[in-house]
Amino acid sequence: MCSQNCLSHTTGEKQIRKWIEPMRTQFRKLEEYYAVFLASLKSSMHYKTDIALSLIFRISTALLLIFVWTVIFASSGANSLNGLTLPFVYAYFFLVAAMSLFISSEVHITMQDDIREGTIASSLVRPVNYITQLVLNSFGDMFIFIIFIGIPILIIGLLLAHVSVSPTTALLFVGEIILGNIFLFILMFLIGMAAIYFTHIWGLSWVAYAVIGLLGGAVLPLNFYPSAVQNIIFLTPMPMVFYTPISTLLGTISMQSAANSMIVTLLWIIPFAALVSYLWNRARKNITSAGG
Amino acid sequence: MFDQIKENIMYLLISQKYKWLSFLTYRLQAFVWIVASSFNVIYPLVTITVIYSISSGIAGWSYYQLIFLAATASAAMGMAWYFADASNIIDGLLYGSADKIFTRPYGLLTLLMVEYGDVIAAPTIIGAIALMAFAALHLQLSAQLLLYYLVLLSLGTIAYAMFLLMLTALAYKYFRRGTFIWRMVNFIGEASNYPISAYGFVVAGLFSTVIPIGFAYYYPSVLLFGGFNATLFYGSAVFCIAISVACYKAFYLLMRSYTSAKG
Repeated sequence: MCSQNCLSHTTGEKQIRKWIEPMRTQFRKLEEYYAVFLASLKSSMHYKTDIALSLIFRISTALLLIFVWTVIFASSGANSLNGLTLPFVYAYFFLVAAMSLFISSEVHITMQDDIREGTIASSLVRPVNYITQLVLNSFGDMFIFIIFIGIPILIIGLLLAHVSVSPTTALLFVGEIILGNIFLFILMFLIGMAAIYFTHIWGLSWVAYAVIGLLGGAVLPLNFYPSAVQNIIFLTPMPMVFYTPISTLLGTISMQSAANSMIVTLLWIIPFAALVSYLWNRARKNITSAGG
Repeated sequence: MFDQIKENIMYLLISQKYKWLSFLTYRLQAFVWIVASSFNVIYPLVTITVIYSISSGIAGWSYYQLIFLAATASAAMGMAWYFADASNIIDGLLYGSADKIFTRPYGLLTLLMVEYGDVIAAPTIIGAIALMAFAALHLQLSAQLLLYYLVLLSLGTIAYAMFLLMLTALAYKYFRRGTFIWRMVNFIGEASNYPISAYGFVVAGLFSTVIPIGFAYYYPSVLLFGGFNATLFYGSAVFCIAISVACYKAFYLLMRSYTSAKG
């Protein structure tokens, strides 16, 4: 009787362990992820002056553009230009300033430094996957800036346009930011990989940021471009970085357009991610580190 | 003294040759840099073109005048960047690469220009000049005014470059980080795409005094398009010289606090 009970007890325990073990492993993994994120967060917290200066210069840049657009609207004597009124243009540039923090990706710089200084060798053998480390580091770096700069600027922007955001719009906005970030991360990861072959990748990242700035809507709302140009731009994932999330928040594009833009971005992300993954697996073999 | 100046100029010129050779060694990388640097000119061109296609633009400025103004700003900022990249200088001071150059028998300014000037600014300058030429074809410019413009542009660019140098030494002494400088340069770059008169009294005043960028692009352009104004020309010239000398002196004074990064 006892032996049977003991046996069933042991079997039950084994069963429970079988369930718990993967959960514990996952939990341990989460702890590791949290540690990487926390380290990155602590490092960003050191640069308080940077945070303050970043806030000042971002708001100042948005204010400059507000001055310029006020003059442009006044000179034209129009209430709206290509469907955008002046308060929306004000809000747009404030939201661009905020968005540049939500989508900030310094992945390529981390990769370049890791490759040039040889620290990639130790990063690759850490228990947390290298790509996950990059994602967590990137998020850790962004977190403080989002909390202390991004959200306040975002609120200013919304107040300027007198826009109230519904929960659905907020959710859509978050989803778009996530998609935009995934696209940007993959792009910057690709550029970061170029550090294996180039001595410096600043030039490449500069070109990428410039193109995203122009085609993503950071320099001007995409409504202002000629419709033929807009049609081409909307076939790319670029609008998802700035224009689509901002326009969703301001309510200047329909849910249908936002959904279409998300689908287009996803259609780009999937093959792009597969390509980058394939290239990364090949490129890792070419990584040599100083001293090893 | 003239011999010393001659030696410094010769050193600067010879170093340019080697900098270019070194830059062009990695051809693909050089090409990427050229494309990247050209965006400093493409940006204002696209922005201004779009603005004028949907509106009547900025009052008092025609499309080509505004293109010329933005190109002037790109050229001035490109020149300052070509001869002394503030971010490079501060990195050199902080991480020790400046130690080895300060022992060379040339003036501090020459050494900084040789070591920390950035040839990748050249495409910006060339692009800006091309854009100016394109705009000039559609503007009837007087040769005499062009000469005054060039004098003011040169003086303004020197004043702006000296201001950046002074700011670099200031950032080195008090912040020990260069991010402040590049954030400011980015901000100035964004601002200089448009006339400072668009920014209202406070910002226009700031760009005409504390941050002398107005003298590197706005006032020369006003002189060129608005006709000769003796007060504007001589006043700006005197102010540029005064600010250049003051920033140069302040830079030397601040650099006295330089200690080797290696101990």
